[in-house]
Amino acid sequence: MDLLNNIIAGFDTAISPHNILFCFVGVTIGTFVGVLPGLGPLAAIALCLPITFYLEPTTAMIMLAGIFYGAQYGSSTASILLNIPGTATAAVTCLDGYPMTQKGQAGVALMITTLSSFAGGTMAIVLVMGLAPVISAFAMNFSSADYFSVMLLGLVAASTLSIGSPVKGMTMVVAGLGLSMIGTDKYTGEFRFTGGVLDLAEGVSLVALSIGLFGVAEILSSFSGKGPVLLKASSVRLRDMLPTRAQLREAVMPTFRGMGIGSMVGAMPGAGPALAAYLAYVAETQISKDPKKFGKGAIEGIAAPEAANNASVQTAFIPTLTLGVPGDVVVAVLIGALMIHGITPGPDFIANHADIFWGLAASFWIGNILLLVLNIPLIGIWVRMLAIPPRILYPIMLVFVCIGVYSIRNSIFDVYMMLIFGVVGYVLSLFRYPAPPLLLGFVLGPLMEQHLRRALLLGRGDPMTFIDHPISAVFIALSAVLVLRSLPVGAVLQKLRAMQARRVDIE
Amino acid sequence: MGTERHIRGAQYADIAIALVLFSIGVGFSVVAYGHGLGSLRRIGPGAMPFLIGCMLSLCALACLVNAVRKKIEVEVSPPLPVALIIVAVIAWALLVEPFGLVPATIVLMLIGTFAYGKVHWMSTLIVIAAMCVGCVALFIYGFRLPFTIFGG
Repeated sequence: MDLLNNIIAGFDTAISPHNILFCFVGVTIGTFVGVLPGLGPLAAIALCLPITFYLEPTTAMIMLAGIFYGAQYGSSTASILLNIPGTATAAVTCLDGYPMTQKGQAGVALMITTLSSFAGGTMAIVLVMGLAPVISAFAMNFSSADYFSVMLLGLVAASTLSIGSPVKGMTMVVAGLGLSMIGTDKYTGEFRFTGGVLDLAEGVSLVALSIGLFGVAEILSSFSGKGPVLLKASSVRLRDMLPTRAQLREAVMPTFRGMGIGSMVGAMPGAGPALAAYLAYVAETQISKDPKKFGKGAIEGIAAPEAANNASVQTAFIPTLTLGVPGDVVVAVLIGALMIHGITPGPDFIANHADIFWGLAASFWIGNILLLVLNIPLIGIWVRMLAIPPRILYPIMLVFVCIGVYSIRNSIFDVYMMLIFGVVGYVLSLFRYPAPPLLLGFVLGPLMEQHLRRALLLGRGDPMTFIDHPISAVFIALSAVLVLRSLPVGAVLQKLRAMQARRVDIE
Repeated sequence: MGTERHIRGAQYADIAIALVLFSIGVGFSVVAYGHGLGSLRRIGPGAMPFLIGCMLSLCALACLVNAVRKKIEVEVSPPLPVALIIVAVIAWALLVEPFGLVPATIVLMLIGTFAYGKVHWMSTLIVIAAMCVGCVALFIYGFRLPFTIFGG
């Protein structure tokens, strides 16, 4: 009954005109940046951070979260129509979405992705509402050692489970941890790594870092493309979007499977929607009786990953709000936003800030319904967005980027920091060093240090304390497995064995 | 010929990045050591950074090994537009406090548009004018951010 009351109270908060308005603004911005290739939800959220300082924390979270899941809807549009993923998450959707466009079924593909996105998203909200309070209650018993280990697992998972080189991922996580150490040490008041620069006493600004890495770096790399891809915007009409009954039936089961996979992956700290979509697609190719049709425009190939990525962005809020450990970089920035409002997410978050939690969860429903409206009848507008030339779009973005970073603490220094991070991020991304793990390390660094100190203090200086606590031991073991799995141990062993065999031959 | 040299240059750069990261890691550890490691029971302000520095060096070494062993292909943006974007942001940062939001925005957008090659003057001017009006309305009157429109 208590749950029901909470949900009702949540909807009460979420349907106030003010909150609906900002939810709408959030999902609209989200869809916009999702549709545009190169502009991701992270850049958009970082840009909107300064604005949210002027809002209530609940409203701010509703809007920022709306950008996050709204972008998942929008990101499939460019993938399907142009074979360019709007965000990294939608890369999988290209595989079968674009062939459908080539077959003249772009409208149907867009409709199916919107419907399965909606199904995946809304079902995952049920999980958030049901599971988060339970996990919260469980996490009340977490010791500092347990926290340290769960964050360690999050970082290891983020660097090794992402697509790309695990070694470079880990390097970036560690670099992020290092960046987070800059500034005043909370325990001793000592300035660390500031090099005497007073502007760094408060540490590196999260907004300057994230806008630099994701906004500026993106603009700098926008010149390397083969020029803008323009599209006949009139090519998608509502009438072309209606799928046949057989097509709908084909999409149902993959949607449910994608939802399950997405919900699980999303709830794991450190594993984001890109991984969820990828795993769901792989699962479909394994289950299917006719695996050959994938890559040629299979409905299953778009329904499952879309359901998965939308489910995962909702369940990503479970570890975030219950443990304070972000499941994804975007959510990590959301934690940063909450902290700016003076709220630190953790096990007591749901108890102490029931209004924010339930209001946010209820707003997910409203946001998903708004997205349905935005994406089905209005799809033509979003498709037309793809025709904005970069010479207009990017200078405008650049202005917003500068204003956003400057206004956080009226600091020109932060604008220069953003520029430096932008250039560094651009160079690193050229050489396939992934930026998201760096940001995750940056957000988790101070929390990890705090828990490390406390755990060692409580454990009387015995490092075994991390293994003596059973929960912590499990997380440490999982992290170790992930690290070992990503090392090229197998290949090295084979080579050693071959060398040994050769030596025997010579002897 | 050209592409081959391109790829080899990229590999040198890849190696250089790993080396830079390695030296940052070592430097980080050295500075952290100076902050004091403390004891295991009460770890000092330098302990966690020291560990991080060591791990960064290790990871960078692993990257170095990979960079030496494997070739990497890189799609570089042409240098002039990249430089123009950087100049545009620096110009904004220099102008906004002494001259106000509108002049800074105009200069940034002009330089930024130049970065994209041929300038379509009509549309560019319209976009810049719209941006100035929009930013002043949204940020100065809407969110009351502490910018001046013209002048310090």
